[in-house]
This record gives sequence, C-alpha cells and structure tokens, in this order.
Amino acid sequence: MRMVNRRRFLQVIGAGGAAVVLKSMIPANQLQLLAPRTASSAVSTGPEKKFGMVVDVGACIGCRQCVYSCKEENNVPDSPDQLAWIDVFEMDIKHPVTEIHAVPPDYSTTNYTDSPKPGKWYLSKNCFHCENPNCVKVCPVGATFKAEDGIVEMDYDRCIGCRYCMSACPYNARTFNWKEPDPPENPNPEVPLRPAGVVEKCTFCVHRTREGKLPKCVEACPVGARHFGDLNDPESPVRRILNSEFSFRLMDEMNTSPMLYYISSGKKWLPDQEASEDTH
Amino acid sequence: MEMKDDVRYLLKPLTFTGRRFYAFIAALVGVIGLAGYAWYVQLTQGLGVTGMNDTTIWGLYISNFIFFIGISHAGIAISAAVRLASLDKYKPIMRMAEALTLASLLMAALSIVLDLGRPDRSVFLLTYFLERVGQSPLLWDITAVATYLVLSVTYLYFSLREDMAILKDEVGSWRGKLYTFLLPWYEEGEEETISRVAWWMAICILPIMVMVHTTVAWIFSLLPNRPLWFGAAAGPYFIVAAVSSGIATVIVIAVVLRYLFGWEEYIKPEVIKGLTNFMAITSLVYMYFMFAEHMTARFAAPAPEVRVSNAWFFGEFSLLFWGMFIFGIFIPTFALIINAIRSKEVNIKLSVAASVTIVLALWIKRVLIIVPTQTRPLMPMDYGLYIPTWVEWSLVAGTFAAAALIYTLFLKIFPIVEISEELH
Repeated sequence: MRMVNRRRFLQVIGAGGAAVVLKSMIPANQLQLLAPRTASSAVSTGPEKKFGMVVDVGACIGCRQCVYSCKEENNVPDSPDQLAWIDVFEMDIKHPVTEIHAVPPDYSTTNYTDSPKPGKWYLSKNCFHCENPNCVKVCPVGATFKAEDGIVEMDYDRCIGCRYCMSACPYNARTFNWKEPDPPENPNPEVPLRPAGVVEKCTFCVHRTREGKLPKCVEACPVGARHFGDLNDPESPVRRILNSEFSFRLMDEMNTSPMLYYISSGKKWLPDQEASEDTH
Repeated sequence: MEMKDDVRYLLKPLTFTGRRFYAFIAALVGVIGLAGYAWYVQLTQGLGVTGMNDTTIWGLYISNFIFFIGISHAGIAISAAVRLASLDKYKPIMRMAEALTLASLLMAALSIVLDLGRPDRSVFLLTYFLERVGQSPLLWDITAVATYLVLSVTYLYFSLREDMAILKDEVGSWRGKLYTFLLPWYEEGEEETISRVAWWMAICILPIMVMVHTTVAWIFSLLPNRPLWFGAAAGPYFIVAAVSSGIATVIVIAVVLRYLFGWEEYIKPEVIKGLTNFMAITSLVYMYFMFAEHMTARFAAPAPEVRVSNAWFFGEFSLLFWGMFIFGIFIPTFALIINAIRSKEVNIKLSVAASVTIVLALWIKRVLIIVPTQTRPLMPMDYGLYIPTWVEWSLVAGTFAAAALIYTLFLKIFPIVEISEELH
C-alpha cells in the first residue's frame, strides 16, 4: 500500500514536471520548430525578393577577375586550400555540358593559364544559394540559414566547424578555415574577418546587395558574363534573361534548386570562330 | 549474502595489483600524453595540421567515431542475449561487455570533439538543440547516443548494486567507502525488483541501439551527392559491422582477462565458442553487404558511383581495401567456419587471432567508408588527396589508450564479473 502511494505520487510529480519543462523549453513565438531561422545579421530585404544570379558561359573568357575581386571584397585570404569563394573550371567543349558530374579530372582543370583557349569553355562556380539547400538542413546549430530574400547566409559566431554543410553541398561551394587566416592587407570593413575553425562561402555580397548594389564579381567581370538581380522582379536583368534564353543548372537531380543559372548566349571571345563550330 | 571462499578468485583484479598493471598504466598514460600534445598543436594551429582539406573534409576522427560507436554495441547485444533470450552461459562476460560500451561511447563522443573546428563551441549543440533537432541528422545521432549512454550507465549501475552491497567489506577501505556512497536506498531483497527493471531496460535499449547506429549511418547516407554513402542499406550495414567488431572486441577482452586472472573455469570455452560462432555469422552477413554494395555501384551504376567503387578496387585505396578484405575479413571468417565444422572444440587462439584481425579490418573499413567518396567529388575538380598526419594518428592512438585506461580503471574499482550471480 505504501509503495503504491509513493509510486502514484512520483508519477504525478514526474508528469507534471515534464509538462512544465517541455512547455517552457518551447519559446512562445517559435512553436513551429521546423521553421528555418531568419536573418540576424544584415537585415533581410524581405520575402518579396528572391536573389539569383545568371552566368553566361558563352561569354566567359576565364580571366578570373570575378575570383580576385571577390577575394578582395570579402577578405578571403591566400591560405592553403582556401584560395577563393569562386572556382573557375576550364572545360573541354567536346564533352556535353550535362556530363559535368561525370567529368574525370582530365577533361577539366582549375589550374589553367592563358585563357580563353579554342576548344575550351569556362565554368565558374560559387555558392548557388539554393532554394532547397541541403547545407542548411544538416547544420546542427543553425550557423547557416536561408534568409527571406533568398541569400543563404553564414553566422560565423555560431559555426562550430563540424563541416557537415561542406559534406552536404553537392557543388563543393564551401571552404573551411583550416588555420587562422592571415589578415588581408586592405581589409574591407563591411565584411567580417573570420577566425580559424569556421566554414565560409559566397554570400552574394550580402553587404552590397541589400543596399541595392551588385555583387563585386558581377561588377568586376570585363565581358559582362555575370548577371544578378531579383528573380521575382520581371524587370530585373536575371528574370528578363531567363524568360528568353535557354538555361541550365548544375545537377538539378540533386533537388536543391540552385538560384544560379547558366546560359550560353554571349558571343565567345575566340580568335577563330570556325574552329569552335567544327568541334561541336 | 555472504561471500563464499570459492568465488574469491573472481575478485583478483580488486585484491591484487602487480607490476604489470603499473607498467600498463604508465604506457597508456604515455600515449595519452603524446595525444595531449598533438591536441595542443591542433588547437593552437588549427585543423590544418591534419591531412584534411576542402575536398576531403572528414578523415580519421570521423571514422574513429563510427568505429567506437560500433564496438559499443557489444554491451547491450550480450546483455540482451542473457536477459531476454535466457542465454545464461554468457552471464560471466556480461559486465565485461557493458564496461566496453561505457568506455567506447565516451571515446566516440571525444572523437567528434577532436574533429570540430571550434570545440570551444561544443555547447552550442545543446543551446540550439530544440531549434535544429527537427532537421539535422547530426542532432538525431546525438540524441540517440546520449540516450544510449544514459541508459547503459544506468543499466550498468543497477547490475552493480547487488555486487557492491556484497563486496563492500571485502575489497579494501576506499572501495568500501565508494561502494557505500554509491548505494543510497539499498534494501536487502531489492534484487528482484532490480532484475525486473533491468529486464525492461534491456528491451528498451535494444531499439535504441538500433537507432544509434542507424542515425550515425544517416549522417552520411542521406546525402545524395555522396556516391557509396547515399542509400537505404547504410543503417543495417553499419549495425552488422558494429555487432561484428563489438563481439570481436569482447572475445579479445574475455580471453585476455581469463588468462590474466586465471578464470579458465569461470569463463568456459563454450562461451568463447558461442561468441566466435556468432561473430563468424555476422562477419558473413557483412561480406554479403559488401558484395551487394559494390554490385550496386558497378553493374549499371551512374558514373560517380562507378568511379568511387573503382577507387576502392583499382585506385589508390586498392591495397588497403583488398588487404583489409582478404586478410582481415575473408580468411579469418572462413578459417573460423571451417574450424567450427571440423571440430567440436573451439580453438581459442584462432578465435583471438580472428577477432583481432576483424577489429583491425573493420577500423580500416570505416576509413574506407569515409575517405574515398570524398576524394571523388561530383564537380569537375581534381581528385582529393588525403594523407593523415602524426597529429591524427596520435589522437586516434590517444582515444584507444584512453578507452583502455577507462576500462582498466573500471576493472580495478568495480567487479568485472557478476559476483552475485555466482553466489546464487
């Protein structure tokens, strides 16, 4: 009799206590636990915008001005294995574009000099700020998150450096600070300097684009191969281009829905136009 | 209950401490010291002192983590066999297996912390837990492992209570005080209730054990961009490896302790035989999974899969793979099977040799799971290169030494055999 009473007492206390604890752990304004985190740093320009980029691989001459200007703008240092937020691949035109993720290294390289070369095209890649980003899904602390205006942001103060997001990105778009980065010569004060042990990637120059400016890589491209804008705005350059040009994205089957599209309409800067038509 | 003299020999670890013990501890502390220095280097200079890079972002620490989670499954597997299937002949090794679970789960957690870029922010895994647990497989894994650890420790504690009550006057004054401290609310005759509780706990821990290794597998197998990671078979595949390597480790521990303390009569050859046969069967099942995995990756698979499978079979990982498979899994397993068919007696030396090679092979196999896939990214990049550095090897050795240290200290503080069972 004594034991039953004690057990009942403990059950009631336990159930009541658990209910109180569970209820208190759920913040009042966040009962939908699966909602992605909203921006905490640069204030999002709101859900009406959907930032996207278009890169014209027909126009790209592989000069890498986008790469270097991005590095300067975003304080990306020259440490080993952390060369840039943008990678440019020199691809062999004999192989179809959709063969990209079946391409062994001998069809492509990032270590080219002298471009453009006949018979080659140039594929630049940075974070695609996907609509359905796997990196955001897997982050255990919410250090990367999809803002309402479409930018997939990084919170360097939360990142614990587990690198799960790097594992999840089908495009290898992210880089990690394997050591304390050397401070840049002329740091851009608008972009935070990162410590060792955190992941970083292209931010669509969030400090510029939310002020109505273009990302640095778009500005820096000497042949106008890069375009940026609000995909929801019918007047934006990206929306007008995508409404009229053939476009493709990398590895759409990954279901991440990238917000960087490729077109191939620009005139290729080639000395020998005939040679390039022969190789198709 | 009174201590009977004829079971006093089971208390040898608690009553006798020889020179070999101190030498062993000194060796372990030496290795841990080296690992400590390696960790200092890593913390001050960053993870760049390892062989990892932006292409191969996970290496030995993560494969070590999977390995330790794997061998932790032995504890509940054997406890479940005894309590739920009434396979009483394994009672003598129950606690040895449970102590292994404790040591290896702690080392699994440590392996993850070693891999973090910002280990000082580890607590964020708790801070943002509720916000992210709905989406991140890493947090599902942490939930499962934490639950498993708490339940295993509780289970171990319950089974220790009766032994501590019996032994508190027999094993020296500081242990006696410790046991008394650890025995609040002890009542004579509580064993029956404890036994029922433990039975129910064993039932609950089994599905948690399954979910532990499944959530570990899901960290990798839910990512569509990773050939040979992505797929539904990863959960069962990992679990079979876990049970194989766990049983193998228990065999080695049981035979070593048997020899060291003269427990040949207590841990009878039939126990080793049963464990060995079970390990041989799970090893066969593992080979079946390996065959299915590479059949899938080669028959008509997409190019990325074929490329990773080729990396295993013919590429820079082929020596490791074929060596591990032929000498570490295939030959030992069939040697055990042939011996079991030809002879009713277990060959203990063969069992230990096969167990050691199987554990080594499965440690290497975890590296083969993690590394080759990352070296063949889907983007048109160069293949990644991964060569672990002295920092990684030291820290991995450190986790093994720390596991051995935890286990040895447990051996010295608590009875590694169920004394109360012997006295019944």
